[in-house]
Amino acid sequence: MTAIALILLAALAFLAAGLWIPFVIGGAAIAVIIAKKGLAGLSAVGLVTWSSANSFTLTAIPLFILMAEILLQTGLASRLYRGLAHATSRLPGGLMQTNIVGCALFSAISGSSVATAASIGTVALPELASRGYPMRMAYGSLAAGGTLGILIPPSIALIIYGTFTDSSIVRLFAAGLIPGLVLALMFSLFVGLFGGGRGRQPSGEDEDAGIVATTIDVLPVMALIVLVLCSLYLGIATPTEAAAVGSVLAFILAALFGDFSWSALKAAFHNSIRASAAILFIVVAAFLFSFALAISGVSGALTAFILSLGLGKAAFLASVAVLYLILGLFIESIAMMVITVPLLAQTFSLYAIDPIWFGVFLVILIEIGQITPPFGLNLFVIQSLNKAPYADVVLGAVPYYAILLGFLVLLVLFPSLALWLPGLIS
Amino acid sequence: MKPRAAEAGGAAGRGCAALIRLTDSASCLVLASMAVVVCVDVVCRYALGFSTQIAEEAASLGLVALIFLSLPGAFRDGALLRVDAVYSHLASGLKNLLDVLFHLIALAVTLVYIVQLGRLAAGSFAQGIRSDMALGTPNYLPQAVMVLGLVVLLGAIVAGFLRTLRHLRNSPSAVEGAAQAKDALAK
Repeated sequence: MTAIALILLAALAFLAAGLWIPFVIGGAAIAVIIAKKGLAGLSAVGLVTWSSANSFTLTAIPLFILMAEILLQTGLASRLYRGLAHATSRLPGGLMQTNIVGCALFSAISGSSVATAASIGTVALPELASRGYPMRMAYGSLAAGGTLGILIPPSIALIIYGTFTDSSIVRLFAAGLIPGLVLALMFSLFVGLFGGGRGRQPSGEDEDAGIVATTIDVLPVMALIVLVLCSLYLGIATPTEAAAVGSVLAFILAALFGDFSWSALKAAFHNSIRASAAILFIVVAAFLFSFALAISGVSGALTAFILSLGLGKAAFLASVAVLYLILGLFIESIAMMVITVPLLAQTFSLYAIDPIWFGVFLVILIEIGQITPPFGLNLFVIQSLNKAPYADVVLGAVPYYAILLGFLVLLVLFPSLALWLPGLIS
Repeated sequence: MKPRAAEAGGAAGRGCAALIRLTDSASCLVLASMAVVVCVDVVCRYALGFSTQIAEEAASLGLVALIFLSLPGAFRDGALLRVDAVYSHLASGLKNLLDVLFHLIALAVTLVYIVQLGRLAAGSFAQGIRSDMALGTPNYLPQAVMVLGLVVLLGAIVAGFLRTLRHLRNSPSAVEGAAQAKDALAK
């Protein structure tokens, strides 16, 4: 066990030093296998890698990414924002509301927090600046709104979680929907109360001229979202099928309503394969890591250790929350999930925790990590879009950090927030 | 593409860049095919009342190819995720030294994957193992694609390693970096 502990410590050191995450995880797994089974044990590397990559469930990830990229590269995502800006211009908070609603809607396409924050942020920040909105508030709304990307379905994080815990992806998606919408509502209430008014209307722009334009801008993407989500929840399509049909429909919508060009399509495919490789290589390496932990006895030892502490369910969940809040300071969300979930999954039965509910709980903790300084990914995305002072982005996100923590408590007190909708799915 | 290739070192770098272009194009094609095959199956099922029976197998095999063929390009373009909070604040000399070490680890891990997946593919070929789904695809085919992607990844890592070595050799701060590394280890 000492050798295994040293290997895991070395892996953490390399992770912190900046070695590429899949090589940290894969390297640690290989070292643990050699330490436990000798070189002969390495024959499992091929088999585990093959069986983890050959997964129909995971095929949904590149297809959802492709759908979002097509909408983004052909300008349909920008039109969605523009349309929403007209629709929400009369609400208190003005364009700040558009940020939240835009992020919530784009979350229903993209499945990724960073993609959501970057996509909406790119369009929103110049508009917000030109209309004189308080920028600190604007940065916060975009960084926090972006986190909805991994909660409101489709969610790449929930697909990966479901693959590791053998949970139904459709039920996980259903579990994420109401918490995602409630959080969006809480964000929206906050910007309505403290968003600093509606900003200036740019000269020459008629506020009322937009009803037809709004409909044309918003309708294609809204129709796509409704179709994808309904096909999932009505049991018509699996997540992979919904993603594939969504991609093809996004392509058709882009050809009909977007700035469709060969270069835009090429960029969409190029970005999709890059993002897919980055995420899925980590997942494949994590399956090997999970296998290595199982044969090394670490998983069993950790379960026995947790049991020996005699924690109640509430204390256990609080410890998990603290662990993830600390990890979220330093580690990228997908890596954090794939390293810890195989270990934690062993404890669900000890505390009678519903894996579907825990998936939502975990994703909210990851969301918090994404806006936690110093290394929250969404903070960097928003900062880099506008060359904003980092401190402004961090301070802007602080209220949302509190809202997310508050919602986490609500989720523990009222588990049906996450479990009611999946319960309706047969 | 050309400047990168030149930087990576002559003909070998150009060859590697050309291979990455090929694997990238193949990945894009695979992704498009996955979307179309699954979509056609959904349409057939709901509009025409039958299933093609091949969508699940084709999409899963497509995913295998997509992951491994797109890896070399992702590595070269710096798309693989890393925790760079500490790394990005290091002095360039120390960063170069760490890069050498990181490339060596990546090389070793990739080599283990190549050898083990190569053995798996050879075993599947020798035993004639096929998928138990409608297409009955021989397992060695997608497994060989995994190995192919990893071999090109190995080439990309070697090119990156050579580039890092060159930076290290040409960098005036190399000595300073070594001193910093020594200090860090002493602490």
